[in-house]
Parts: sequence; C-alpha cells; structure tokens
Amino acid sequence: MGRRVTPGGSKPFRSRSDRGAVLLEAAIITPLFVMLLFGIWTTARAWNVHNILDHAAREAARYGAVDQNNANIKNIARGEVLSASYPFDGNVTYCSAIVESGAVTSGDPGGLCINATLDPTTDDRVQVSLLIPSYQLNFVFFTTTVQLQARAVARLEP
Amino acid sequence: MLTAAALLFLLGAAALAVDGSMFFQQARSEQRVADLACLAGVQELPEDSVGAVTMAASFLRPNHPDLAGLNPATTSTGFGPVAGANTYTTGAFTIQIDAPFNGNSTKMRVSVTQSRGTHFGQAIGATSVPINQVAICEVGSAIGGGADMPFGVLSGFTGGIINYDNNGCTLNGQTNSQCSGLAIPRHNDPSGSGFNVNTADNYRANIISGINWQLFPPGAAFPSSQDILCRSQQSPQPGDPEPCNRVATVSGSDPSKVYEGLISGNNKYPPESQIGYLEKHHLVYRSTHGDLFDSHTLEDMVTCVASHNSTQVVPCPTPEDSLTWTGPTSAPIVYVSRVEDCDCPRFARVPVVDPNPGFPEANCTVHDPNDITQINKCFARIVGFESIWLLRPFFNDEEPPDGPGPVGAAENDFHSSGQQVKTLAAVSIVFNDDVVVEGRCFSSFKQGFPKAVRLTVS
Repeated sequence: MGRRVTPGGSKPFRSRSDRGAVLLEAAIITPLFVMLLFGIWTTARAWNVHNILDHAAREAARYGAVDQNNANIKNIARGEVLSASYPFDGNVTYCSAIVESGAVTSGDPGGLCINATLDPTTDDRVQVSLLIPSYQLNFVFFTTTVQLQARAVARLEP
Repeated sequence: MLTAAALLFLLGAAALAVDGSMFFQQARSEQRVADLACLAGVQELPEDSVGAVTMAASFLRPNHPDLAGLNPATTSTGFGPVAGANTYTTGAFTIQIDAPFNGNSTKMRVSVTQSRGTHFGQAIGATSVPINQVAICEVGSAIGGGADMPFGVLSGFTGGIINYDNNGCTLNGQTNSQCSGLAIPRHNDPSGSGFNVNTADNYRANIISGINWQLFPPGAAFPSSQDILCRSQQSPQPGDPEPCNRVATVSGSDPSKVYEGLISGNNKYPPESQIGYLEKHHLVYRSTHGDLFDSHTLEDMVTCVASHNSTQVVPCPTPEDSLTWTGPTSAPIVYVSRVEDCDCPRFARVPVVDPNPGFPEANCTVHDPNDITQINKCFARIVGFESIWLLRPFFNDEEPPDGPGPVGAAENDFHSSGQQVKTLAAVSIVFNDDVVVEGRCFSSFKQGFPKAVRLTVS
C-alpha cells in the first residue's frame, strides 16, 4: 500500500479504497491475533495446571510413602492443588492406593491408580493419580478440551 | 509488512509461552520421576547397589508414560545393571543411574534427560530442547542420627564393648564370671589420678572403644573414686545425698537378680526428671520430654513362633516372664525370627538368644540376622533379655543427649569432679542371673534399623 503525497505539501492521505483495505485487513487479522493471544494464555495455563497436578501427585505420594495411611493421601493432594492457585479442584478426580505384596491394601482398588502394564509387580508402594478429564482450552471463537493427568508412584519407606 | 513482522514476533512470543510452559511442565515431571525413582532405589543401599539400580529403574516406568518401554533389567549396554554408573535409553529419554554415587555407598543419583520437541519453536528454528533433571538421595538411620540398636545378643561378634562367652562376660578386659551387672561409662581416669574431661580429647573416643567403661558386678560397691553414690534401692528418692549421679544395684535376696541403675545428668534436678531411669523390671524409661522409650514390645522387632520353621505365631515372652526362669532349660520354647520393619527406639529391651538352638540350618552364626536377605532364616531361642539404653556419646559442642533441660542446657551435662561432659552412654544388663547366656556379642546392628531416605539435591 503506497502513501500518496499531495503535490504541494507533505500531508499524506489515504484514498477511500486504501482505508477500506486496511479496515478489511484489520478485520481479518485482529480476530486471529486475539485468538492467538488467548491461545497462548490458555495453553500455557493448561501446562501450568498440569504442573500443579504433577506437583500435587508427587507430594501426596511422597507423604504416603512415609505416612502409609491412605486416608490422608488425597487430602494432601487436594491441599497441594488448592494451595497452588487452582481453585477448581472439583474438576479433579483424585485416586490413591497403597499396594503391598502386589495387592491394594487400602485406597481405591482400581481405575486411575493402577496400571498393570507399568506398575512394579511386587514392591510395596503408594500410587496417586490426579485427573482432569476435560480441561477446557478457550480460543475465544471456539473451545476444545484436553485430558490432564498426573501420576506418581512412590515406594513405601521402611 | 507490519502484519508479517508482528506475526513473526507473535509466533516468537507463542513459542516462548507455549513451549516454555511445556518445558517447565516437563522439567517438573522429570524431577518427580527422578525423585521417586531415587528414593525407591536408595532403600536398597548400602547393601545392594545393583538392587538399588534395578529398583530405581522399576520406579521410572510407572511415573512417566513415555518410559513404558524401559526394561529395568537391561541397560543400554544390553546387560543387566551393575554397581556404579548405568545408562538406560528409551524413546527420547536417557536415564543415568549411579549407585553408589561418588564413592559414597549410601548415596545414589538418578539423572533423567529428555530431548523434547517444540511446537511453535520450530517457527524460529528450535526443533528440540534437552531437559535434564537430577535427583541425589541418601539412606541413613531413622533413629537419632545413627544410634545403634541391636536386634539381640548374638554370637559372631567379638569387637563390642561387652563380649559374652561361656566363661562369663568381659568388658574391655574386665571379667565378671556372673556375666551380669551394670556397665557405665567411667568418668574418672582409670589410673585414679583424676580425669579432666574437658581437655582429654580422647575421652569420647575411649567411651566408644570401651576404654572408659566399667562393669560393676552384682552387689558391687562402687568405688568412691567414681564419685557416685550407690544405694541398694530401686530408685532415687528425694532427699538423697548430693552429689547424686546414682547407680543403684540390687542383689542378695532378690531372686530376680535384676540389676537396676540410674544414671542421671547431674545432681541438680529431682528424681522425677531423671534423664535415664532404669526401674525394676525395666518397665519405665522416661524423660521429661514425655517419651516412653520403652513403649515398643519385642513383637516390634521379631516374630515369635511356636517352633523352628513354624508359621504359628505365639506371644513373645516378656522381660518379666524371664524373671521366673531358673535356667536355660526353663525358658519357654519360643523361637524368634527377625522382621524387616522395626520401629525400635534407642531405648529398648532386646532378647538374649541362644544362637544355636539345636538346628544347624537355623543357626544364627550361619544365617546372619543382620542380613536383610536372610530375614526369617535365622531362628534363635530367647534365653534372657537385655535392657539397652544406648546413647551415642556426645562431647562438648556436639549434639547433647536427651535431657531434662533445654537442648544444650547445662543441666543435661554429666558432671564429674567439677567438670562437665555432655556424654552419657549406658548399657544395663538385666537378664536373669541364673540364665546361661551363650551369645557372645553385644554389637551394633545398623542394618536392622529402620531406614530413612532423603533427597539431598533435587
């Protein structure tokens, strides 16, 4: 887009068609920019929430490995989530289990906590899993959801 | 033109924000993996370095979905793990596990590295970024900074402060044919010329090595040079003469032949605040901290079964039970096997066991009860009890023992001849006098301690 100069002076002006083009261009680009900006924010926030879940799972598993009382493990995890500025912990599904001699001795017997493929076979351990099944990513003009899960498996301490 | 430039800038910002936050999340995730694997593996140390590596590797898999292909039994060399450095590779991950680490048999290191691909970063030429997280951890005793607690008095060791043999027991060369009595740290110079504990650098070392100990046989009068007032009473009473670092014994008509002792920090505080109080039958060990150090039972340490190799669990005898025994043949036929987990305090009653109860295959001199791989293989018959109060000697600026006063307070000190030593260590041998003790060892069973693990760097 060229700039036109009046023959006798220096004041630029735009033709009506130029101004229309700029307006049209802005109308196309602005939503894209807004979507990109919101996309940056919402994606980064999703990673941050994932990080919160990861940290909470780790802390709860570590606590459980020492305390070895399943009743407290979820509370620890929930406390970590809340203290990490994720107030929507109602969206989080908590699972914890203490596994001894290959069997769940306390806690949730299956589901999120147990992964028969990955888990050790015999070692006594505490397993914690936090899941947000549908975390919403907001791109202004549309939304989508992702699953966020964090899992921590810690060996029980003697 | 402006839009194109802005778009490039925006993509760069997106790369920073999205990929950057992803990297932080991945780093956090890797740190969790490294921490939990390290803490799992280090529990095998210091006994089993290879086992520590394998254990750590087995806890990598469940902690990260991208490590599902990792086989703990096979390192990148195609062989099994070894003591020392081991590398595992799977997908974009490279994991280095060192056990022992840096020459320290109680430490291990787990390093997790991932080559992580970028999303927006590709627009500015960054296709992948390595993310590396390291955990270093160590194992130690869960009890009081390395205090020792024996599982039992067994044969096989002769280097302890007190050694038992069929001729009695000896304490650093002092022999007492009755093999009982009360041993206390000597706080006077054995030469009798006085002992300036504040200037004798080897005082603490000598206590540890047994030099500054003295064994008092049943009914023995404590020499005045020891600056201890001895009484034939069970416990100190208000109004007792001062100074009052007491060791009391009971002998003669008392059929139990239980020797009682009290070692107090100094003469300033009343009996109810004694720091170590060995009462008759050794039921109470207490401090003004409110701890009942004697709160554990024998079952905390061992499983008593009806007979050799039996799975029938029976109640373990108590020290009180042993008072009715008239000799080794009258002791109940109860066998013990060690349990893996022992929440034992530093103050404990431990069984004196016959190391060879007639079953060679179960002989504790063959099966090391201190070897955690041989748990339940060692059976031994209880023939008595020892009451152990073992505080690691402390000296001057080192950590003071439990005492009635605040940490480091003067009243925690052990006074002797006007000098002060922050040291107390005592072994009270309290089994029935008539019980023949065939075990010969008083020693430390560090591996029998509950372990504690911690991360040192993360």
